[in-house]
Amino acid sequence: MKRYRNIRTIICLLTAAVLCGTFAASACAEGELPESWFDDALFIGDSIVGSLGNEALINGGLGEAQILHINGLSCHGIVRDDTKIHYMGKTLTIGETALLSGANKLFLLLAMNDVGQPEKVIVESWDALFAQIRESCPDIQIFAMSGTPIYSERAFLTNANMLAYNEILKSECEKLGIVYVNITGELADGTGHLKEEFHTDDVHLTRSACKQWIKNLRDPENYSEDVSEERE
Amino acid sequence: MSRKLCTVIAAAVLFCLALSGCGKAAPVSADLNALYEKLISEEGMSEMISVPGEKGLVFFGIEPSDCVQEITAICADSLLADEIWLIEAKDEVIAQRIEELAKSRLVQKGEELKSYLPEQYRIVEAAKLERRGTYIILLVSPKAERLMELADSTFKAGTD
Repeated sequence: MKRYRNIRTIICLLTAAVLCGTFAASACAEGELPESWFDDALFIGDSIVGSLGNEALINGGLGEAQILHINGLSCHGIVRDDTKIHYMGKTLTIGETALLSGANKLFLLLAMNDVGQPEKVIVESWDALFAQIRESCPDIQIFAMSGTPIYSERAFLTNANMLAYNEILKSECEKLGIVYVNITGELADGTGHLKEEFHTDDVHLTRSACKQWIKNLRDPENYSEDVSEERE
Repeated sequence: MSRKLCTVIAAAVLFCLALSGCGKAAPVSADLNALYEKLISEEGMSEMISVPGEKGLVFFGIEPSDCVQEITAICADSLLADEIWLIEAKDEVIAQRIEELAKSRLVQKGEELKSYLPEQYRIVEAAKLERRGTYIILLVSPKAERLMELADSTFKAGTD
């Protein structure tokens, strides 16, 4: 009798293990980067990153990633105005922030406030920012996220300008050894504009847009380099 | 004067001193979770997100082990300046340090918002920051004044 009870216990444990495995697998779709891949990531960007940070705090999706934003942050502003990050009670450069955070991956979103700048300024700004980050963190893996589409265009904030910016950014990434991440998948409609249901004020994103953004971040296909092999 | 009478007078004096607290404010205590719930339930409050675990503290430069109770919350709409810190520090020296961090946080928020979102900048300018013994309360909200009244009533009720 005791022997049967033991067998029953083993069967129960095995079933539980199989079920747990199934649920764990369903939490991460096939081919998708697991949440834990972002545990050692630091995100820094403009106000658009603010909504990503809030979505990740509320509903998760990016593991233990640290997500910082400064309203109005731009690549040319960091270089021209020496814009600093406030982190852990200190005022730091992006490189110093990354170093202090202990991150191994640095994701940057610097686009919306750079759109419309001359190509020369964009290139020089990214070169200078890259050098500044490398000074503090020679080994950190840097990811540059593409600029996001705009719902209602105004002045220089147009989707054509954003596409042009993303092209410049892509070639800068190639030149500097930065991984380019296309986060725009499914955010735009057929005309290239940000979908109506995804915007709060033409440029800022709703929570559902941020969910899609997280989905895009977890799809290795959106990275210019193969990141799927680095999974933990 | 008899010895007995002296003892009675001394006891009476001690009793009066204890009641008056020797002129010092009585120690306060408050359940910060309950206070936070009260604050976010206030009508017209922006939707807030309480930053889980130590994430908020680390970001603001506060050592988690320095806190007895802590709640840091940011606004669910990242374009709004609303922010709440409710912290009980382990001692007054630490509380003073955290108060300084809160002051610099306000300066930094102000600098960031001044030209970008002037309306939000005004909210930061009108923020309420108070330290009561080992407690630090930072309220950045269009309703900061009302929220501080609610905090006041909680601390009054919690006075030992």
